[in-house]
Amino acid sequence: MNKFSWYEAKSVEDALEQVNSTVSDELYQSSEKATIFKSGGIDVFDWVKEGLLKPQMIINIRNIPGLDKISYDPKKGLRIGSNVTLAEIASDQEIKNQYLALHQAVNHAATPQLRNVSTLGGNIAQRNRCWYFRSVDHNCFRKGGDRCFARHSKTGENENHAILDNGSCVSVHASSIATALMAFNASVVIANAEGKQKTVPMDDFFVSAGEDMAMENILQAKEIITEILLPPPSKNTKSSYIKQVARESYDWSLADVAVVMEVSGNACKSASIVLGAAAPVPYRSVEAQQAIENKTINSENATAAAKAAMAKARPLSKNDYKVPLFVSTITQTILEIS
Amino acid sequence: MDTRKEKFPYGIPGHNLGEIERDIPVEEPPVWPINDKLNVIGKRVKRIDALEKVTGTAIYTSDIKLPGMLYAKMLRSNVPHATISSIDISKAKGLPGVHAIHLIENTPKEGEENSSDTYPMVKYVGQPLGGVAAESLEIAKDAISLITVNYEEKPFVIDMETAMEINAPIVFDAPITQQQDGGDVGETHDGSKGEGNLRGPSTSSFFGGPRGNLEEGFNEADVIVERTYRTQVHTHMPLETHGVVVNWNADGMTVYASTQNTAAVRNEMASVFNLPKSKVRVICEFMGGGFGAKHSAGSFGPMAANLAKKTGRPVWLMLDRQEEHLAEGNRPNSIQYLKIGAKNDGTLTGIQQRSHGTAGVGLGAGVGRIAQILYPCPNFTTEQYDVLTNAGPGAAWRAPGNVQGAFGLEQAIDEMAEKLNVDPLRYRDRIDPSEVRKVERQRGAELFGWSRRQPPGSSNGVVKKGLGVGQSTWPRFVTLDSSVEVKIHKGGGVEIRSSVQDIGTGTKTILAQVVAEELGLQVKDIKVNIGDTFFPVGPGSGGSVVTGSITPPTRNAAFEAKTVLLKLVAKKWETDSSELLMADGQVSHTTNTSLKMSFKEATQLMRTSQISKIASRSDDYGGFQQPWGLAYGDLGSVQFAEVSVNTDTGFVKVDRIVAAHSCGRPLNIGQLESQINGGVIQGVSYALYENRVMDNGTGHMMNANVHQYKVPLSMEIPEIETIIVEEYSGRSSTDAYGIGEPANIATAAAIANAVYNAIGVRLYEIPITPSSILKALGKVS
Amino acid sequence: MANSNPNKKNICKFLRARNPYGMMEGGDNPWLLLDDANTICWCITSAGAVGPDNGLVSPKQCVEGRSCFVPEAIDDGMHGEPPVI
Repeated sequence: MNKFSWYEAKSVEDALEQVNSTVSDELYQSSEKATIFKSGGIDVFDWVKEGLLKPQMIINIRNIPGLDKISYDPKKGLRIGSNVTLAEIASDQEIKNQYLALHQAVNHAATPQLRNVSTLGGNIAQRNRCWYFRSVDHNCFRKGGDRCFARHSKTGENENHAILDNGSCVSVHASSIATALMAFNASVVIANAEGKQKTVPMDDFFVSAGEDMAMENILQAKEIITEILLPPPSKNTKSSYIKQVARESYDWSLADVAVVMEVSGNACKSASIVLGAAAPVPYRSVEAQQAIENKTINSENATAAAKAAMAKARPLSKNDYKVPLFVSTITQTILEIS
Repeated sequence: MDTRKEKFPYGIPGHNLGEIERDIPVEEPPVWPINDKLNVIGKRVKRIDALEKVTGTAIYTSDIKLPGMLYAKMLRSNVPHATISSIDISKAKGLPGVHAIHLIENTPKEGEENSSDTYPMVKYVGQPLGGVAAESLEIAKDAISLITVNYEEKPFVIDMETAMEINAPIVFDAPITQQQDGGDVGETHDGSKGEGNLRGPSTSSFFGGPRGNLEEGFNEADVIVERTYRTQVHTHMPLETHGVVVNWNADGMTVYASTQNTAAVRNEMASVFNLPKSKVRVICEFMGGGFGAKHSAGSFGPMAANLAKKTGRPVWLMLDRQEEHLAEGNRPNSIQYLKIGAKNDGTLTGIQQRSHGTAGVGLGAGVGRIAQILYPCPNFTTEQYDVLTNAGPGAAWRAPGNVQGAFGLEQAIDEMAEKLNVDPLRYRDRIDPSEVRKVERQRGAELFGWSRRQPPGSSNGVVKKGLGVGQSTWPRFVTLDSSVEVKIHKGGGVEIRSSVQDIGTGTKTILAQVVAEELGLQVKDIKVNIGDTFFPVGPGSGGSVVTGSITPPTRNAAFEAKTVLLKLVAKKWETDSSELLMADGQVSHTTNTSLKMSFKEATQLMRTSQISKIASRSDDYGGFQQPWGLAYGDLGSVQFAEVSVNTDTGFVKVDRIVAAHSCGRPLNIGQLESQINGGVIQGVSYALYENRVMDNGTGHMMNANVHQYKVPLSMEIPEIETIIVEEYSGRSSTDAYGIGEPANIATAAAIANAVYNAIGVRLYEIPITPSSILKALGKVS
Repeated sequence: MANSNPNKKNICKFLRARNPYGMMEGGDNPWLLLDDANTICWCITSAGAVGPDNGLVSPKQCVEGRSCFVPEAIDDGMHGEPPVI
């Protein structure tokens, strides 16, 4: 671990003034005098500890005032500050009532201890958990290297990896909370050094590996997440979330699914279905959405939607089990709605 | 012969308890009755160091801080196979705070595999190459990162089956031409036969070699089961990593070590540095787990000592989690072929076992002797091969070989029962002559509710329930080089001293119990000072030998000290010491009730400030099966598993384990349960979770951490119920044995059998994962 | 089986057998393989399973004639006869 200096940011403006790089930029090609953000620190310090990230300065954005609020308005929806901890979201009764899938996703993320320190902004901006990407001994595409070790048909250890959109990088996104946020059509509010703000839908916040190998989201240096916005649910909105893990106590997702629906009686009027741990970024399954929309929510239709979601799946050498696992998980998650 | 006759309890209370008369040496203490009639032994006694452990005040090796102490970090290879052309330490040397750098160097000689370079050849990722001692651990780590090792890389092989191919890269260049027979005990055979990376086969053990005629056996059989089973590489993952603090000065060397064997570390350090054993002192007060990997000074012990020598200062060297996974041992994997024949009435007619396993660059990947000895069968052969690969060496791992072997054998027996159309538990009643396992099956089946078991795959719904059973055997070993000193101090203090260490199972507490029982005192009255080689030599914590080896001499020493004290009292009371007894903290007369004195008062009669008696392990009453300490009988166990299998997602949950075990005379029920719980949890972990993932393309372990190398956490741990069967055999003054290894052997097999019962499809490989379940169910295209 | 081991004096003093049964550790015959199929061999001079000559470590290999072989100091009086087997 290298030595670095510590800067306690007093405001968003102050933080943006100090910062000059991002974790992703540094991992792809390191620079001499990088200054980067740290929120909860869970992900950043892992990289620093492994010696893959060598910042000159770490800017602590965790204590910036004003970014730690949750507010809900039945007309405007939900606003969650980027420094709100996962534990705070998990215990928020309004979120449990109005955004059940988000509540469930947060409750299944990491461990109670980690949820006490992890922030929502940090969670959605964390990098993937591919063990080759995280290894100092494997210089993969994501780190500016010349190959994908996980993809190799004979030697790739890819049991946890992507089955969809895995043409360039086969990692899966590490945030299972993002799966639920995207299903709720959440947006990310990003502030920049010029004092401007933009609000980006979740679907556009994440960047596929094919578009940019260095990045998993659109955040640039000199940009910071300030809030996450969720539109208000209607009285007919229902949601559900299921995460499949090897260990229930604490584990990264092998397959997670969030479903948000507008229902009419037992029929689905419109559906938002997002898959986690399926692709390098949270994956909206338009095929599944189309398959279930305007249908009765029953086992047959749910299974059909789940199978439609897997139509484009291209498993790697060791993860073909994920296809039936997703079929089962999508089916169950849809059926939880009724 | 100075012997006397004594009648010992013999057998299993509630089943067949009787008596046996044995000739025992006159100096041995009188027989103990069964536990029901004892005060401290066999009870649920709280660990004497419980408070220190749960409050964090217990001092472990990594907590040791000495004046002027430096911190060390090891330099390790990051390629799997190479020669080293140069190592540049100039930058590291110049780093402020660095005190010494020690590189491992050899003196190359003609004819060696790499006779030109002084640095050792690299044969696996994580191999130690050197170390740095610095003012802080951070500086030491920085220094390591500043060292450049220049490698000339060579072809390597990680995957065992690839390593067995004709043209595979060779791990050790030296050709293997000698054709030697497989290993007989005590001979030099070590399986060094074969070609390329393949060594073996080993065909026998101390239980003997091949038996009968296998071909005839299979000809006699009406039913044959023939299968291949696979198990994974499993690393040890003790919470406390390996490590030492070495303080070496003119008076001698003191080594604080996290070790299962203080005496072995002492002997190794003495040999390596050419010191008399009297000048090396090894201390291990608390242990954070070993599981078989901490029997020695390892590579880190000599490294710390070399750095201490170079700097003249104490050196702290504890490994990190990654080093632990890569280089400090593992349970080798296995591919086991088993063929079992039986007659229609179930009688076994033949067992054939052939296995391959890799312990990386080391040997010892056999699958144990379970198939050879668990069930009597007149015709038996085994061929066990080691396959060398470019990976870290194996180490003993809680019942070496037997856990792998039981996974195969106990599934084959289950399959045989099914073919014979017999309930698997009834089938074991038929072929297993062990009396203790019979009782364990009966009591276990009742507690578990075995009668609920349905035919395989018949459970309804998506989540299917299954019940399974597995058995095991473990030899009763004792280490004869086991000694202990018991001191009675004037004024009442009682002290126990031995080099034996408490691996964490509660050895300190049982020693206190033994002495308290003998002296009629309470456990809190006894001070246990162990884990220090300046005290009499105790056994290593391996082979589950500790309880059987060290509790008899502990009782004997206490008895001898008591005898001295009673003689003093007898003199005062003008009676015979044989008329006196110690109980409830008092010395009293057996017939004259007016004669009473507290233990403390009695010690005031001492003319010296202490009575000190040292005793060593006597031979077993009635002799050994093998004179070096293989006792008669076995430590049998039967474990029952209940599982739920989600047939849509492939997830398996172990809901419940009932573990029925024997260990001779149980000494402390709470500690035994604790140890069985630990063994079962590790068995669950072996069956479902842990797996060393190696990248065959680069030779690196991909999950050398605690989050991707998956051990079970609270929610993965099933409900565990234990049954401890008392079994008396009158073999020593305590008649007690250990439970460490037996607790871990049968679990994975029981789980695999339960999974089969749930889904009706058998899994022949562990870990059992969603992937393997969905494949077995034909749900993966 | 023979009661004494003729090979004892030919085995390198730095060889250790990590027996599955933990018995001979620290004993007089620390190289003794009680059960060869389950015993890890270790060289305490190279501190590994690979010898100082880069060769495999085992009682079969670690004998007189090997380049890194070091004999036991036989007459130091500290080592008794091997156990009767």
